[in-house]
Amino acid sequence: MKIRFNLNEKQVEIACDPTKRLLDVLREDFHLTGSKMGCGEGECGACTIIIDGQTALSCITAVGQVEGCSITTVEGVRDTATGRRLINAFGEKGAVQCGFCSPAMLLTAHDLLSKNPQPEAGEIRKSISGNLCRCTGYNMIIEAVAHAAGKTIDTAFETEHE
Amino acid sequence: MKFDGQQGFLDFSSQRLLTTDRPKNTTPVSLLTTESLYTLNNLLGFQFYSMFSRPVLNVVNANFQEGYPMSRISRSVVKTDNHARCGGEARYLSDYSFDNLLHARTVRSSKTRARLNRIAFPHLADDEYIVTGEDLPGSNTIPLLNQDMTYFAMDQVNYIGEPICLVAAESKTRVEEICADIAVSYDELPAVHSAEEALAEDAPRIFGDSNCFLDRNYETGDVDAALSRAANICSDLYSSGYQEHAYMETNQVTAVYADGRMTIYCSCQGVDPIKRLVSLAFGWPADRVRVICTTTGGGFGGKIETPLFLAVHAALAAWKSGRPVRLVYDRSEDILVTTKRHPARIAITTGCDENNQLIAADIDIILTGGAYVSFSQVILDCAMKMATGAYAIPNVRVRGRVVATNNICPGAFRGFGALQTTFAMEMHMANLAQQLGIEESEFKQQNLLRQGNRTCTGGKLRGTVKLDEIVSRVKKMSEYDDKTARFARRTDHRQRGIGIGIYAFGAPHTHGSHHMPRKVALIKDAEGRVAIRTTLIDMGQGLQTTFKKIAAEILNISYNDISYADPDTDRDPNTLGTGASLSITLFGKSLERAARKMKKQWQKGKTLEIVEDFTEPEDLEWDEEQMQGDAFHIYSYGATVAEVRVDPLSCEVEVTGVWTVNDVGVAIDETIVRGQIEGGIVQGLGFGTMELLENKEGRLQQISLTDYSIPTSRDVPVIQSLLLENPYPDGPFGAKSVGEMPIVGAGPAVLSALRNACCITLNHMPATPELIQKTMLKQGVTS
Repeated sequence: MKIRFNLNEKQVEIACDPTKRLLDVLREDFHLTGSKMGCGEGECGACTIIIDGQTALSCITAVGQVEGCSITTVEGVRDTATGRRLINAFGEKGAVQCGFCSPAMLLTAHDLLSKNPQPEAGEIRKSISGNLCRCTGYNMIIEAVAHAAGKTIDTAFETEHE
Repeated sequence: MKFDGQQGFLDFSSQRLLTTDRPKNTTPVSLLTTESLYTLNNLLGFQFYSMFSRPVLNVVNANFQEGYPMSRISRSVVKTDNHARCGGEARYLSDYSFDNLLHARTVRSSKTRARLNRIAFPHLADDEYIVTGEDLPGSNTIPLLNQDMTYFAMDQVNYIGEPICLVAAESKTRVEEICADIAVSYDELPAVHSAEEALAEDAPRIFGDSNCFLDRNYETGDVDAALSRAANICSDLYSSGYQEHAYMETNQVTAVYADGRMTIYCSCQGVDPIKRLVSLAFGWPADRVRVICTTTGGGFGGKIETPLFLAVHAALAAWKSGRPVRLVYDRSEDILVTTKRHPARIAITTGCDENNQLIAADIDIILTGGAYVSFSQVILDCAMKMATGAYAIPNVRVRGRVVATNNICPGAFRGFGALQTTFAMEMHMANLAQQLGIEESEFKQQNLLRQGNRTCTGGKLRGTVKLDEIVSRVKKMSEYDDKTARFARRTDHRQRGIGIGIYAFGAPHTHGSHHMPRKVALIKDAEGRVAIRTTLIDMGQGLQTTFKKIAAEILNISYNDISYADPDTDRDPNTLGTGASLSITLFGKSLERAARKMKKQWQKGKTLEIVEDFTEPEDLEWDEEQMQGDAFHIYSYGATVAEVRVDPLSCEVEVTGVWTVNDVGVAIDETIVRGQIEGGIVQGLGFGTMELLENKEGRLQQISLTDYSIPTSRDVPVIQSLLLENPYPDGPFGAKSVGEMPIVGAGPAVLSALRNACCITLNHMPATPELIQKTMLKQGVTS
């Protein structure tokens, strides 16, 4: 069966079983490996993509469900002005450790900033609550997103030198 | 360039060889190795960094001397792998495609203890494979303590999830079908599923006479004499459960057999043990095996033992089929069968003098082991060596046991036994303070380790001990005293509490004179570019960046001119693995020495290579047998305060504030250190309050991320963090370790807060709402 959709601003078409998992289609058929398999049950958020302007979990989406839809993956946002600003901000604030959750965090943050350019810290915290991270403890990611939005959150870390 | 190959198998705790088989293995490595596909992400990382960067730490070191300008190195840089990992370009194991790839899945025991009666295999098409222990050309026995563990079960299975065989086929669907069609019939045997059951008089004997893999003890001073003159004696029992690492990338490998060599691509924490074990399993000389670590999505200790199984399993299927084989554990499988934190039961008896000063402690540690001893000895060792946490107790007796059960084998996990003992000690101090009628933090502070004290194994405390200052500072930051008084007055309908967890974490551990070499190499090419060569792995803790900073600072070159590629056993000297909080302090010091030598010998246009083994301070005195003396080179110290709000009806816990003060010597990079502290604290908070992992008759009950709750962003408050500098001369630029320490104090801090909020004693971790509720009812506390 042929499924047609818009992928990172390009019209694409795939012939496959419509029940094939969208995450697998993206990774294997389109070689877009930025979306990750973390749990396969829609719990960790590492497979986050955007379908028709809303974040969605590609590991629990069948490719047949996105017929006619517009899909954005991390590959489609990392080179935008906001995307690059976010990547730099993540770097400056130490928001990336092992990085497995990071592309999804980037995509989620990108989506947030496109809808809410000046989010409060609480709004950022809530927006990434569907993305699990085991390495960072989240606060440095939240500071990074705020920084990318041009807002200052007090960095809650200090060193007393000898 | 020649590196000695691995010689024999390693006993991690003592670094002694377990076999005397020492084939000399020299592997020629060309200096200017072409970076191949799997290191492309490093090059991309450099490219993206220079495109988007803010100014690079360009070290202009006019005033550089033998001492260190410490505050400069601590100044944060953007990690060199930030852009590649963040934007999704970095390639983790499953992101690589291979032609002719087969997918694989492990068929596992569904019984906790049974003889394997019969296995019926379905008919297979060409290019469908099943491999078992009988297919291994070398040995199915894993060369660990007791020599009882095998890659595949042969006659008997001893835990649910024990591997029986591996299926490989081209389509994942077909793999599942074949797995489902394999019919195993068992003759069940009596089994035990907890330490309590295993130690009962009438327990089935599953190991030796006592179901006890290990039973060790030591005594410092004279505990009985001290107890006999104590003004107060307090005894209690503390316990903690399993914890799952929950790295975001599950365990996975790809094995490729070509031209007589097996190449294993792996998400792991150590390529050298994998190489050694695969070669032994196949009966091959070690140089027929190559192990490459791909960008790894988290480890926390959970990718030390487990990848050994995946590697041998996948390699066997790759060898039999002649095709690349990828073995990926799905999340449920990873939770169900891989290593976990050891559950612990710790009985503590302490004696205090009339001034409320601790004079004696008797600590009995029981770790719940699995069906095989596996690596449990090193965790037990560490627990025993840090049994008394942050406190000065002159007379200490410690017994430590690892008990055999028909459960999964626990293993390494950040904190490594010391998390369990620190928790027990912290809860004991809280209970004891209550008994004595003293405020908890005041009592703890009075008994802290101070300059000139000895450790629980009678070792020296080297360097400046800042614990007292740390505790005072964290209390001030968090308004601890004020809040303790306020919360006790209960004006809020939701119970509030504040508590403290104090910790001293020893690392590096003392290796002793018979240790295996664990070398780091530094290579300079004719163009002045420098490569760090080591099998130490950056699994997110920023090692590639911090190592480059150390070298750059000394060599006075841009750290963009320094490379540190993903570990490859064909090229990099053997460090045995990444963990035990060794990387910066122990190996970073080797790197520092190598860099200083390189600086002295640096010649423009010439190539140069320096290889450095690690060293230990000369004044260390350690008796391994008696467990007496300097168990560790040095300690990192810290204290964490947690503030909570507990709903009196549902007992749901909200952590409303966290403050932490830590001494890690000197931060090689402040942001990276902060990341380790915050990440460790959150992982510790998770274990303190929500990471329930129950074992029911040998089967773990929470085997998905839906059921096994780890903290989300909404479970974490802002963490106020202060780092107190305290340079350690034997660490690079004064650095001590930070990797494990932060997780150790968080659980005790939040449990102490819960204790105060709910007016209960809480001797078990995790303290879930259900446990809090049950405890309040049991202890007759009404809200």
